[in-house]
Amino acid sequence: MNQVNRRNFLRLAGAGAAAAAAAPVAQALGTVTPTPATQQGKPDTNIADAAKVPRNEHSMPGLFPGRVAVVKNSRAVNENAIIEKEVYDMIARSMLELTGEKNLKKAWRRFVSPGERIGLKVNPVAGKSLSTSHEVVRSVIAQLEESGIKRSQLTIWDRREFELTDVGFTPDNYPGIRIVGTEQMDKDGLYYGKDGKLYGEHMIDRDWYYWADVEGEYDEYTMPYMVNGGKYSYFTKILTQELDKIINIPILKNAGATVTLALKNLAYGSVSNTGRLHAKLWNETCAQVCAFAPVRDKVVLNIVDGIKGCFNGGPGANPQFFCDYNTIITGSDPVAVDRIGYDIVLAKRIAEGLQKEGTPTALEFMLQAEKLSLGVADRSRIDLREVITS
Amino acid sequence: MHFRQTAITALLISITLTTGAQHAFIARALSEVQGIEEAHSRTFTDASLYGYINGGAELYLEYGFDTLIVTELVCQGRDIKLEVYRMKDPEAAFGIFSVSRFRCNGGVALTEHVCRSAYQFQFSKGPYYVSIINDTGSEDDQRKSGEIASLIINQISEPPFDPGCFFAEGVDQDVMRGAVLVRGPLGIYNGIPSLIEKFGEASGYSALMIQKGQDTLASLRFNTEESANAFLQHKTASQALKTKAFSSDSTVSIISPNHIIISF
Repeated sequence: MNQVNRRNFLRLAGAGAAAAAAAPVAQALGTVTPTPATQQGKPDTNIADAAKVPRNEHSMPGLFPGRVAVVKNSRAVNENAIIEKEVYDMIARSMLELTGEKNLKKAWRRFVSPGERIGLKVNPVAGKSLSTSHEVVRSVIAQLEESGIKRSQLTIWDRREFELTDVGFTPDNYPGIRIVGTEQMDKDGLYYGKDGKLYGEHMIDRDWYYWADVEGEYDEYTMPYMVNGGKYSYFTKILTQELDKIINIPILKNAGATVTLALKNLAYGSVSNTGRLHAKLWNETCAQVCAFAPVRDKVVLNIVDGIKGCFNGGPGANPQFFCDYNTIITGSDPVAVDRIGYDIVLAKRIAEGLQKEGTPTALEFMLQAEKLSLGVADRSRIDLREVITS
Repeated sequence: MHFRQTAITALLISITLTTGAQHAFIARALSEVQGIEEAHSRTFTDASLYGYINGGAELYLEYGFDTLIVTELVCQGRDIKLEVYRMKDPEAAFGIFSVSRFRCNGGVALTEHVCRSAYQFQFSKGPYYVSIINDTGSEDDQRKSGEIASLIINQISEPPFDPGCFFAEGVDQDVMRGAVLVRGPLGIYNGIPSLIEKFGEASGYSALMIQKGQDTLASLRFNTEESANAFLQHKTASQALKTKAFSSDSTVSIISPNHIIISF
């Protein structure tokens, strides 16, 4: 094992800590209510618990169900560099189209207010070349500030703090804005504190969880990226305790023949112990995790960074699959946003000869999310407002 | 020069401590590359691959993954990333390579299975799938990537994947450039999504797909007779129901109880 892992292991062993999942201290949701799997062979989950918490006026699909604003601009990228001024204007235009407001400040204030703690959920997992771009994030921050939101109200977050750092989401680059992740590493590169616990264990909220009848079993090298094993995936405290509103800023990427976009960025970014959920419950996790109150009631806006993205090999694609979509997709309804994003990626995949048509399975997680009343997946019911500025 | 030697020495020690002699060839290869100013490596084994590529790890795990060593180089002021995946066997390495390549440029065939593009050099040899990524796509970076690839290829003693166990008569080189090898639904989903309905959630097999004229030939080798029979029963049922999974114009050749070839 390499030196960092060896030091992690010794710290863990020295403190006598166990790496297994602990039972919840308290269960805000009560005891787990397994929901029988709707599809043959699928593990049970506790999705029924999500409905026990009543919806409110902010719940998905938010202020504009089924409405999606798309702005395309061929000048957004020049010689492989993103032009921030163009991106700023695209986001501004998309906000006006989405809300119907004529004033940008009013458009933003439909979603956020001074005094609220606002989290920007970015996606840094695929490295510098394929993460939520700084041009988009800076433009969002600029427009929030122009709308009366202070930088001190803002948090840039994701599940993995060190990935945020790796791609440039740092205090130096974003002064006055909190940067935080659930999974953390200290300045010595260690995942475990002197108490023998993962730093990430202090960041999960055991009162909020997604239970699935799939056991997560991880070795000591994998555990820092999962935080806990077992059958519980705990929501991050960043979401449950430290933020009032979320603006979701995923990047436009494929995942096989479907997309990893708004719902996936939220679902897999909000909970621990995700490794076990990919193989058997990928679609269910994307939809069901978002149905729980910490996500359902706090995500007010989705702005897809579709300036650069990928059309194959995602979510961590190789460079030959990168492309300039030159697009911003905005909506309060993450299901509708994903549906429109899927159409854009599919069109590109067909144009590149990777597919001749869409596949029914590609829409599965969106259909499940629609059944959970999180938004609109039916393309015929989506109010698409598309603007091509150049 | 001193700094470069120090960097390479540190890298060699780091990799050796990480994985023993197994991947010391990476450091030996890099010690011959001119212009390396910095080098930093990370190692991921088994499920810890999630720490590097999150859910993308599932695809590698489906094929059969052993160890990844990622080496980030600064070479003459520019970033180059070297990923050396050791898979469980040459089939797995070729499989990952086959679903990762796209519109490959020409060039000297340093080994059997190579794909060059402006930003990436990929190859598979023996149980290794290797990806060398540069940030600029420039001629210089492409040359440097090729240089690194050549040095690593020379260090790998195992032979490249041979399709002969799938197609006894062999497969033409041109045809192999478009071949895809899969071992489960994720490989299908990423490599040939049009075949999702035909293969469904089937597992316990390796399938090499090639184009022969207008037809797709899929040579499937199953781990057990039971899984072969289960697959054929599914196919028969699909045809009886006239579903899209298998049309009546696909033909099946039974090569052995564990080996079938389907023409679509």
